Amino acid sequence: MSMSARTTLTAQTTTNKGGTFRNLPEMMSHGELRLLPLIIVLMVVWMVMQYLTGGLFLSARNLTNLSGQVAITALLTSGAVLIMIPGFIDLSLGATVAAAAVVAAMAGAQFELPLWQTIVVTLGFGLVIGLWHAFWIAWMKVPSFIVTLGSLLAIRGLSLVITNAETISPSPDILVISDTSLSATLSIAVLMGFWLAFALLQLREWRARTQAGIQSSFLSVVGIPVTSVGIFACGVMVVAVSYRGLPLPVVFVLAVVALTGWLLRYTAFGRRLYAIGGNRQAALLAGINIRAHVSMVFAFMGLLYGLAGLVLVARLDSAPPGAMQGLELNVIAAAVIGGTSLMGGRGTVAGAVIGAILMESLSNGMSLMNLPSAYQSITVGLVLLFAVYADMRGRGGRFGD
Amino acid sequence: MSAEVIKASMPPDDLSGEKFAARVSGIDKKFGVVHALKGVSISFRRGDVHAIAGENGAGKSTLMKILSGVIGGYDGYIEIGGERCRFDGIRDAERHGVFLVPQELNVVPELRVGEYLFLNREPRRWGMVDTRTLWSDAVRWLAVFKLDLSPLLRMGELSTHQQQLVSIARAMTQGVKLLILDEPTSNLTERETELMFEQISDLHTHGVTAIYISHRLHEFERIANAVTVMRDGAVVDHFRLQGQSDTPRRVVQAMVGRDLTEMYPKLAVVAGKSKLSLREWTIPNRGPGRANLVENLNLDVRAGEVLGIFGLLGSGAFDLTSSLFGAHEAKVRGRMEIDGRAVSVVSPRDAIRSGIAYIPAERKRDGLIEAHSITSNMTLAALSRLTHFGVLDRYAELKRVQQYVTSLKVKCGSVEQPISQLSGGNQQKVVAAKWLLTAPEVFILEEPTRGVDINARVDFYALINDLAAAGKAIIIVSTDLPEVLGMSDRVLAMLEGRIVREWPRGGATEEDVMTAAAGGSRQ
Repeated sequence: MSMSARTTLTAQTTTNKGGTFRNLPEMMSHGELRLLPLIIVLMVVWMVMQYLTGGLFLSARNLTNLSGQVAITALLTSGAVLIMIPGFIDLSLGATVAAAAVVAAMAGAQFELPLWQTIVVTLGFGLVIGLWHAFWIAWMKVPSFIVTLGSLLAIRGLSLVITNAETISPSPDILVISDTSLSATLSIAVLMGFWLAFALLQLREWRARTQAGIQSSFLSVVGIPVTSVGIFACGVMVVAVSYRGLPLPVVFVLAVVALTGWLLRYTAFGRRLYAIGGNRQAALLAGINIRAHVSMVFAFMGLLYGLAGLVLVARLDSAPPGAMQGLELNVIAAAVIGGTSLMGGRGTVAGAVIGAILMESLSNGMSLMNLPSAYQSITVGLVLLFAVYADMRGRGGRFGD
Repeated sequence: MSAEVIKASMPPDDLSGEKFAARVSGIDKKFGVVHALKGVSISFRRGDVHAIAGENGAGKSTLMKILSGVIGGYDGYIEIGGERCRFDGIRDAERHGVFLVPQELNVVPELRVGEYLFLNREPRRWGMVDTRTLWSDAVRWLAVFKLDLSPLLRMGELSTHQQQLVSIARAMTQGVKLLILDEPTSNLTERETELMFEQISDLHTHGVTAIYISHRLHEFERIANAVTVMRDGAVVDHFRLQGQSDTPRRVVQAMVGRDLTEMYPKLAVVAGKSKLSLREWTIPNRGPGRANLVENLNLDVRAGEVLGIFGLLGSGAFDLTSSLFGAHEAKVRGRMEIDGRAVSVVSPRDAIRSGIAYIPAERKRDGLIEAHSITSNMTLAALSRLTHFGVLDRYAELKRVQQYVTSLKVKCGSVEQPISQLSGGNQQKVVAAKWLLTAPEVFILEEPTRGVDINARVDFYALINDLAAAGKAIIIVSTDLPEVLGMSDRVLAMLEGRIVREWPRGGATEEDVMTAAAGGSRQ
């Protein structure tokens, strides 16, 4: 008897899910709406900050300032998620970004390269470090923890050596990166484009599911996510238009977030990264070229070092070789708060970016309240702990592993 | 076999406790719905080497884990030297003189032999390790056990067999009364096995009783005084050895005595041309001086043919299958042809490209990404067929997944559900679908129905029939002997890296195959 002849009976029983609000808790703990609790926490934090700072926190001026702080963290967090999903880690961020900033400043100020060449050199420098990591991790099989810890020490030292431990001033033309803001119309166009692209992808996903005969809830695939992103985009739009327009670094962040998020969700490359982190042995036996995938994510991360270095040097108008110490831990904390697993196999760019916004919001708000940075550390540390605990309970309580 | 027969073949129970080093009485253990042990009672006479045999899943290792305190939560009781015990962990069992030397030794490679001998009970002086006593005691003990080793060697530098001997010595220094050896010879060469036997036969002079678990039945007459055979969680035969020569036969009969039922709906298929052919296939062993894992093997599997391979642990059967898929760590020599074309397979990627599919025995470790969805698991090996320029075609993906969920009768709530929530049988169907999506020509199935419930098994066998009918070549390697016999067109028995016998369908009984695979027919 052939399989296909005997087996049409259970087709319907496989698709009895879907539903609407009945499944909300489950959707929140595992499905499409996993990020909702985090967003709610972020909203609460913003409200509290708004109250405690007497309305200063949510002013357009402060939010624009906040966006500058978030930009570097969020850029790097997107890359860090790409590295953490296949089960690796990058501890070198602070040192490599500071070094890239030094390279950018020297290229412009000492070698008097034009701006576009400075940008190419800085991105190239980042890429070289990324490839260096890829070589040791993917080819020589040294744990990424060790390789990037080595970079953290060595590249920080290198920055100090080439600058004689002095802060370098960049050539003024690089400030265009932090001083440029898109015009109101362009800002609206960019944000609308971002939102529309997201909406279209979610809609396509929903259509694919429905057409494949999988009953799936429009609300959870399209309705709630698209509305949330829409509200976020509108908020950013209002702030941007009412102050100075969308700052260029924020555009970079949007571009990188869109790219990495799309890679992870909609490409075979992203799916394989999850597989490598979920079970390396099974991924290998499914024919995945682990070495190539790992090399690519570290090379991509290298480009982000360069980009973040450019943003940093423009923002500070200087390149202190000792800048950004401890950045790597903030980035990892943001990714983990956003639901990325340190063991690999799990995480989203969206979650990590919300994690980054949450952390920067806390420190920004507390600065506004004139609390010493020591209190910021205490708060961020505790938030990290509770966020991971809540996340573990949310999953473990339901599926008991 | 009925309860009466079991009782009749057991030794009378009214002997005084003095004669026995240990007894287990009515041990009953369930894991969820699986009834692993069904009221097992065995007495171990003092000074005996007591062999225990049984197929995989017969309950031997569960019983030994209970006896050595690894697992608890059972009914029945254990007596050690006439005293009833209930162990609260391994340490507790060791305090009562029960030691387990596991098959896969977990020695600490960095520790020195002397340190390992006294691990966790180092001689102390003022709170610090008294190194002088430690080393001198170590030297003395190694001499007692005639181990020609320096106590300063690191455990990692020893061969498997030396590690085992040191593990036994460690148990001896701690006053072992009952020593459990779980397949001690499965990784040893013949010479090492002989040395091991000498040590084991010496044990009784130190007042030690040994329980000896092995698949190598021909070893029993050499070293055991008593044999107990288990099947399906119960004792089915027990006898003392007094110069018999038909022991392997008797044991095999007791081990397998069950019918081939209608469970195996194998359809006859006319086999076509040779699909897969291997010539001089050799897999070297790690470390010099050891026999090759697979030795100069020649093999042809034809289109539409189901080839069953049966081999016990260490026979090389599983090395063979993983090497066919490019997943073996050793550097494999030999030639492989698929459909008459020479192919080179050094990685799973090559194998998939050459049209080979592989269902691994260790499903959780090698086959599944447990936290991920049914969809992600199912399409993982065939993603490049479901993408345009690297971008996933979600419609095509979900459509195919849905088709396989339906045709293979995977019982699930949604295809986006984590695969860890499915039963073993449904997980295995998803793994099968993963390979069907790559449209392979050769299927290698290791333990295809391990941990799979009876209904899903029959579905799985129907799938094998379909694949054979479609002209695929299928290799089944399983330690489930009825399955191998029931589903194969041709059966091979492997022993020590070689094919020792071959039977056409219906040409072999379980006894024949087991005896050949256990090396029993060589004597």
